Amino acid sequence: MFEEFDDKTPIYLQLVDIFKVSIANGTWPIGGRVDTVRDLAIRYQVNPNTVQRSLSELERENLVFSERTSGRYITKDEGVVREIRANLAARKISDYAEQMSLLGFGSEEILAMTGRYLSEGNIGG
Amino acid sequence: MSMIMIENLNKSFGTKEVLKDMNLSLEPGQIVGLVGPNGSGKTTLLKILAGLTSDYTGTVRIGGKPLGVETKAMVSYLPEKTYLSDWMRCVDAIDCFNDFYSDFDRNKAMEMLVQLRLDPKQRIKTMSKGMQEKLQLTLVMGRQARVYLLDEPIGGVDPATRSVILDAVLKQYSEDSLMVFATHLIADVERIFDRVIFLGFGEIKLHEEVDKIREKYGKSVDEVFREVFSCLVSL
Amino acid sequence: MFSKLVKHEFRATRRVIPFVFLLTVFIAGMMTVSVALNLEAIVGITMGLLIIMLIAEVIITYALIVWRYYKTMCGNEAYLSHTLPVKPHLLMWSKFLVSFVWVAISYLVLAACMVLLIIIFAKGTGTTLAEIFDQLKIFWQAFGLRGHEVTVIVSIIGLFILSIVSGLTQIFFSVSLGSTSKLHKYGIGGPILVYVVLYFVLQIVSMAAMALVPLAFAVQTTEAGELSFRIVSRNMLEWFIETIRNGEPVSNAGLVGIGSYLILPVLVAVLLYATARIVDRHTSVR
Repeated sequence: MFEEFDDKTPIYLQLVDIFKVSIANGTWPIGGRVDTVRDLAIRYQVNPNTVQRSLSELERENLVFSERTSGRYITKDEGVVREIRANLAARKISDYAEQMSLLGFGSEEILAMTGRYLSEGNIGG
Repeated sequence: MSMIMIENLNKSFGTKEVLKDMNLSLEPGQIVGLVGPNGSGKTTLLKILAGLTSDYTGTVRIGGKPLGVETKAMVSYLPEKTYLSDWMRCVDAIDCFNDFYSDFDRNKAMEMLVQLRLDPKQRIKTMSKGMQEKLQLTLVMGRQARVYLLDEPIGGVDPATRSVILDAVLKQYSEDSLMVFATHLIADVERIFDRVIFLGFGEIKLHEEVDKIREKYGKSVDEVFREVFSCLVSL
Repeated sequence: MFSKLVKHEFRATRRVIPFVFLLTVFIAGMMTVSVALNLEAIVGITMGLLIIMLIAEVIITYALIVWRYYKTMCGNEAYLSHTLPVKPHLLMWSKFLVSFVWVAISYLVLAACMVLLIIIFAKGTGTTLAEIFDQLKIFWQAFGLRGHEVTVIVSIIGLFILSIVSGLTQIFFSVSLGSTSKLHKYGIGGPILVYVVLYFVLQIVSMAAMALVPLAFAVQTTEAGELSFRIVSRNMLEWFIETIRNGEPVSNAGLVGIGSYLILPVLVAVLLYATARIVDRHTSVR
C-alpha cells in the first residue's frame, strides 16, 4: 500500500531516496512526466508540502526539472541517471560490506559468499 | 495573512481553566496536527473556532474576520459527536448541507459515499456509530472550505477506513486552505502533517514543523510527544 | 436563509408531530362510527380513549417541541445547527414559527373533538343542534355579550395566540438559559430549574399587574338581570380593600383587573429578546 518510513530521519529526505530509486530503476522513466504533488502525497500518504520539498531537492540535484506550465519532468540526461544509479549502488554496497565485516568476515570471504549466493540463482535475471 | 489568529484566548468551565492565555497564528496551505492527551483542551479549542462555544475571552479571527456567520461559512468542522437526526437518510443529510453551504459539492459527496460503501438511502437510525462518522466525514469533506477542523477523525477506526480518511484529507488539501487535525494517535498520521502543536493542560507546549522535530531530536514526533507528556504527567 | 431553516425544521418535525394528531382524529373517527352503528361497548372505549388523547395530544406536542429544541440547540444536533452559516437567533425563530403552527393545530384538533363530543352527548340525550344553539344564545345574552360578537371573537383569537406564544417563549427561554455554561453542571436539570423559577416569577408579576394596574373590567347586573361589562380605569386592589372595609361592594359593580393581559405581551417580548441574545452570545454546546 505505502512505504514504511523510519522514525529518525526527516520524511522529506526519505522521500528523496524513494524517488531516486524510482528514477534509477526506471519506474520514473527518463524524460517522463513526474506525477503531481497531490498524487504523490496520496500515494505515499505524506504531506503535500513535504513532497514539494523532496521534489525541490531532486531539482537541485538536476534529477527533475520543471516546465513553467506543464509540470515537472524527469531529467533527459542519461548520464545523470546513470550516476545516481551508481551512487545508490555504491551506498548499498558499502552498507553491506560494513555489516558483513561487523560479522567478522574478510574481503575474500564476503566476495566468495556473495558469488555463491548469486550463482545459486537467488536473484532473477 | 493568517488564516487563524488567536490572541490571549482564555476559556474556563467553572473554576477549571481549559485554555490558558493561548496565542496562535496559522497560515493557509498547511495540515496542522493538534495533539495532546485527553482533556488537554483540543476539543474546546476546535469548538470555539467552529462557533459552538461563545463564552471565552480573548480575540479569535478566521480569515481576518471575527467569529460569526462569515467564519461559519468558511469553516468545515468534524466533531467527535454524531450530530445527524435519526430520521434522515444519507441523501437527506447531503441535501441539507447542499442547501446551507454554498461551497458544498454534492457530486463529490455522493462519490465519497460510494467509496466509503455507504448506502445513500440508509437511515441514520439504522447506522452504526462508525457509519455515521463516515457520513459526517463525507459531509465535511464535501465542502470546499477555507478551514477544516477535524476532531479525532481516526479515533477508533479500522486501518482500511483510516487510509480512506487520510486520502480524503490529502485530496482536499489546497494551498489556500488550512486543515487542523486533532488526534492523540500521532504515530499513525504524523507524516501527513506540516507541523504539530502539542497541547497540554490548555497551553501550547511545542509548536514546530514535523521534519524540524525529527531533525532536532532524531526521533519521531510520536516519541517526542511521549517524552514531553510523560514529563508533564510526572511533574 | 430563514426560509431554508423553516423548510428544514418543518421537514424534521413533520414525521413525528402530525402522527399524534392523526391518532387523535382516528380515535375520534372510530368513536363517531361506533356511535352511528350503535356499538355501545366500543363507544365507551373510544370515548374514554378520545378524552385521554385530547389531554395527551397537546402535552405530547409540547413535549416533542421541548425535546427537539433541546436536542438541536443544546444537545448533539446543536453541533450541526450552530455551525450553519446563520445567526443563531434565526435558528430560534425558525423553530418558534414551526412550533407555533404545530401547537395551534393541536389546539384546533382539541377544539374540533370537543365540539364532536358535545354533538354526540346531545344526540345521546335527544337534544337537537338547534336547541343547543338556542341555549348558547341565552348564555350569550345573559353575559351581556350581545352586540360585542366581533370584539369577543377577536379577543379569543388574540388570547389563543398569546397563550401559545407565551408558552413557547417560556420553553425556549428556559432551555436556552438552562443550557448556558454556568448551568452545565446541572445537566437537564438546568432548563427545568429555570422553568420553575420563571413560572413563579411570571405568576407573581401577573398577579401584581392584575391587582395594581388601573385597568379593569367592571361587571354589573342590569335591571333586566343581565350582566354588563365596562372597562374602567381603576385598580383592583383598592376596590378589593374598599369592599372588605365596607363589608359589601361599594357599588354593585365587581372589578376584575386586566393588567396581567397587558403586561404579558411585554414580558413575552422581553423574554424573546433575551432568548435571542442568549443563543447569539452565550451558546456553549456541551
